[in-house]
Amino acid sequence: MDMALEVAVAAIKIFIVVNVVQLVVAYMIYVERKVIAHAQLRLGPMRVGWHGLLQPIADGLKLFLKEDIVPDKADRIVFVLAPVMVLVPALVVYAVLPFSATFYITQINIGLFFVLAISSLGVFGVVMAGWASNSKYSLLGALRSAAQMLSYEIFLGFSVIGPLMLAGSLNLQEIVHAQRDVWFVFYQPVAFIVFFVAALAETNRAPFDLPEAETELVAGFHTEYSGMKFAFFFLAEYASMMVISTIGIVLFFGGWEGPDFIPLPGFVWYCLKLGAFMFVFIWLRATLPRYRYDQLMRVGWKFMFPLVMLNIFLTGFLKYLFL
Amino acid sequence: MASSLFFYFLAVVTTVGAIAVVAFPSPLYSVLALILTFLGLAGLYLSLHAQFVAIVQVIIYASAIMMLFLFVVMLINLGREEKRELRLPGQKLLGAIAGLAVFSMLLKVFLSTSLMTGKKGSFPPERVSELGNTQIIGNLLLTDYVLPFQAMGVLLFVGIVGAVVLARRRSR
Repeated sequence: MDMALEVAVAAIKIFIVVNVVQLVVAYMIYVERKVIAHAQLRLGPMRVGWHGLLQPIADGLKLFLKEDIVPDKADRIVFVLAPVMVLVPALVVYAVLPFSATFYITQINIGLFFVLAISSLGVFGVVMAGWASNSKYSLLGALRSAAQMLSYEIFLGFSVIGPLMLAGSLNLQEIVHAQRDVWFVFYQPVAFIVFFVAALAETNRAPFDLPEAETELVAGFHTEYSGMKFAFFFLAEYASMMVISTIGIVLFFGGWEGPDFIPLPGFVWYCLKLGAFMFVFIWLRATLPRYRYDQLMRVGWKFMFPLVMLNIFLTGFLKYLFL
Repeated sequence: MASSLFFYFLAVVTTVGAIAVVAFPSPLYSVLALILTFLGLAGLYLSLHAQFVAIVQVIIYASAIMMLFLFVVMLINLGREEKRELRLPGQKLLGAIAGLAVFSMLLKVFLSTSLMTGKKGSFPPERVSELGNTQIIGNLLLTDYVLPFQAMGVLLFVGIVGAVVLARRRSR
């Protein structure tokens, strides 16, 4: 009986989270269009609803009703499977994210590791999409994306070790509790910078959006996709942006906790921090030009990798001396 | 009851994946099936309360190594595998004999150890969840098993240096 109840509660929570994530993603795209438009002295979407507020719903409907084209020479099974392979890991990760002190789907002892492992599976979908489309732009985009995500996954993994050593736990809740007094970003500024750059590269965001560099590769790995399948890629990209932002918030900015003198509920703090993170993501896209491919690899392996190793070493050394 | 159902589900996924790796004619499908097998294995580790090992299985095998496989398959653009005559006379028979020999050895080991009786080792699930999986592995790796751990590090380092040397020589 107890187990049935537990399953039911979990199912309801999952239902809420998945649907809210989809709604938030839809509006995140709206916000992105608006912010970039204003950064470029345009107005952005204005027609549907007040200041285009209903635009995401119109877009969603459009994508839903659009014709779904599978190219003639494409590998049908892999082509259909690819968007699913991208979206499922991006959503599964939400199972362990703490949204507030009390609202989370589950908490496990290896939460942080779980997030890194599952989100690294998303790249398969990208590669499968590129291969199955049977188009050179798609394939090149997919290969780039594979090399990029493999490289930057390493820096992402190493950059979280610093805060991890300070918290002494892989459990996301406990990492947040360890930051009651001081956020880890003040102890680990280098780790945070590396983490943020790696996060940009992992989510294929500007200035590292090489896999879908529109000036050279049309639209990269999802060139041949249309309709709902295309929407899946979009959904996955924004969902994993929110995941990586949440991990950043949990590791470096004290999760759902805020300063004591401003009494706001934990969930509100979380949303504020998430909003700030997402805004920086969009802001960077509006501001920075795209990296060249060799620059991307050079910065990663020759600069960020030694830096993050040094950070781990120094953290261990200082922890041994002072704590 | 739920855990044994879970086990059978994962066992089927792992085995079917493994068979599919060999059976698919297209190398890309084989790679995808191998990913499925590795994920099934990770699930099995998880059901044995070896959470850390499960996650490492996903990160290293299912994602990093398989990504490399996929990369190679896509870069050299392999088509479907061609049906070819077997090289040696009686190759199938010899293969079957070798396979049976290995299987009987494995069976003997399996029957002669405590795997069948279910005798517990020094880290049964209750103790693992009490101590924390990652902590146990970390402590063991840096105390009892520090020499193999370091030796592995040296081995990997040699591998990396070798790869760099080979890649350099060709570009000149």
